[in-house]
Amino acid sequence: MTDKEKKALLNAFGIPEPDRKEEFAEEFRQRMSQKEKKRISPIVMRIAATAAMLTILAGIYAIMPSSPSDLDVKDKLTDTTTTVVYDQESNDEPITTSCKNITTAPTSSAQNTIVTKTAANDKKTIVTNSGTASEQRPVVATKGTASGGRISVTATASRTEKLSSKTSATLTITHTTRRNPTTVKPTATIIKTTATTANHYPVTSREETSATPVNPVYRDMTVTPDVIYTINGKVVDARSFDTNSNSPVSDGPPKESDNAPKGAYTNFEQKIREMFNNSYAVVLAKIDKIVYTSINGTPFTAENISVQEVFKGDINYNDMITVYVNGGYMPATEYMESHGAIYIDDPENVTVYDSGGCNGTQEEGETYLFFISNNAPDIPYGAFSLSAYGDEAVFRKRRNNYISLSNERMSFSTDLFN
Amino acid sequence: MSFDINEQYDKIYRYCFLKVRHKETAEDITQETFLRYLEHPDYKSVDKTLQLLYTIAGNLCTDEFRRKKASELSETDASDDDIEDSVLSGFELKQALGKLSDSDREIILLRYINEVPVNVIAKMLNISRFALNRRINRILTALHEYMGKEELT
Repeated sequence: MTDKEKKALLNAFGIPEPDRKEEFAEEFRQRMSQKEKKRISPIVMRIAATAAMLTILAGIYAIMPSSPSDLDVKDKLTDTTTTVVYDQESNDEPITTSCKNITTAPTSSAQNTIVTKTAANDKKTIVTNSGTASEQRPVVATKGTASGGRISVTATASRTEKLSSKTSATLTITHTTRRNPTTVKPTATIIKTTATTANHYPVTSREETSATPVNPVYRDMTVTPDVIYTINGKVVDARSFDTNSNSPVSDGPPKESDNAPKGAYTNFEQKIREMFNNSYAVVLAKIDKIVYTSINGTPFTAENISVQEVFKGDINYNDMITVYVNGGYMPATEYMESHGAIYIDDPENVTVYDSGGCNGTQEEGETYLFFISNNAPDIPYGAFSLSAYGDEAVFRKRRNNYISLSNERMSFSTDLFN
Repeated sequence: MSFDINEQYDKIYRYCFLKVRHKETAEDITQETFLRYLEHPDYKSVDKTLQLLYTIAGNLCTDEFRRKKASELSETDASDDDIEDSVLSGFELKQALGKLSDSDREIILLRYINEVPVNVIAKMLNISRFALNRRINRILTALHEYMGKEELT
């Protein structure tokens, strides 16, 4: 609604101006500032208490020993795989073997060395990565001496530091064991290594072959809804529940009539300009995925879109965001809970479709122009919503025009944003 | 909590005037609304500010109705207005508004003049957002029919 129309409507109501607004406003501000001052004291105390607690924690952390014992290493292992093979040799002969980490560590070339001694009558045991004896692969070297029937087994390894929070760690262990020669049975220490990466905002490279500008980095800012519905059983339109009106129920704003004066189209462009100014962002984007969800009992459709062109807003080309659109599908059982006056027969096998004021249909894989807002209440943090009622803020591009999804007779030129 | 007291005062005042139809009473109720709002436990919650203000105002207006007799409240009659003012201020629109029910007029005031978000109005009326939108569309369609030419949106 334009300011002129709003003023006309206000005049039509015939509401006189208040007389005591200014003096009350002054008094209200004073009362509010007094109330705020009273609130400050507890806040100051909380801040001071938090600061004291942090100081204590920092002191405790500083006092604690920095390097943990090697004996505790096993509990802190994060990831190294080792294969140990024990080879049988004759008595009194030194057995020398070496063990290598056969997993692919991306940054380190550290080796695991396990030195063992075996008795002559020991059976050959080959341990693979999975810990089972299945194939004979001389990948481990052991070293040791047997003397006087007593065998000492020594396993050595070394420990390396984790290189960065985004890379894998390789770990080796140093420890010494002694075994009774008659009962010697070497044991293998198996540690696993896996590569890890921080996974909050993956930075991925894409190769672009089209003529569009190449942006090697994109941001995945999509938000997954807490609840997702699927369409099951019979589908019922929510409009069929509306029996309070004498006139046919219609969702969406009144449409422009065929006999609309010429000025109506100019008004439409003015509306587009106002919507542009009122929007957080205006983007041309492709719908990657559509899911049906709800917020506070109201059906919504969450659309993951990939931005292809940005006309306004702090969003980049190739970014992926989630836009919540009014309306969608919802199980009848839940719809009835949030709309107390409505009764649906056999609700477990019924899905309710509520258009939410949308007249058009958006499809996955198609590209649309979106006017989006980032401050709608109740929308999940990080997600966006449309800047206008229903799908008035969504347009389909056709040649050099953007056609309104809400009313296909309304369109504007792509030059409007230039 | 932060809002412009001048702007919100006007909006709450209009809402109260529409209900009680008496200027001084509407101002008293408006001021009482803001004072009670300051004392309310949800005073600190930004999200609930608008809903709280209108809820308090609505309750005070209801109390006022119960206290005073209907005859002490005066209706603003379009026919009492100066004809010239009526013409300048949109006589047809005024006539059309007069044909609406009180609750429909209240919804129009809240939505288009006070610019209260749809979800807040829906919570005040205890209906869903979509039910409210459908109702608003019906009201606009009715106004459109009454006036016969201009659209409000």
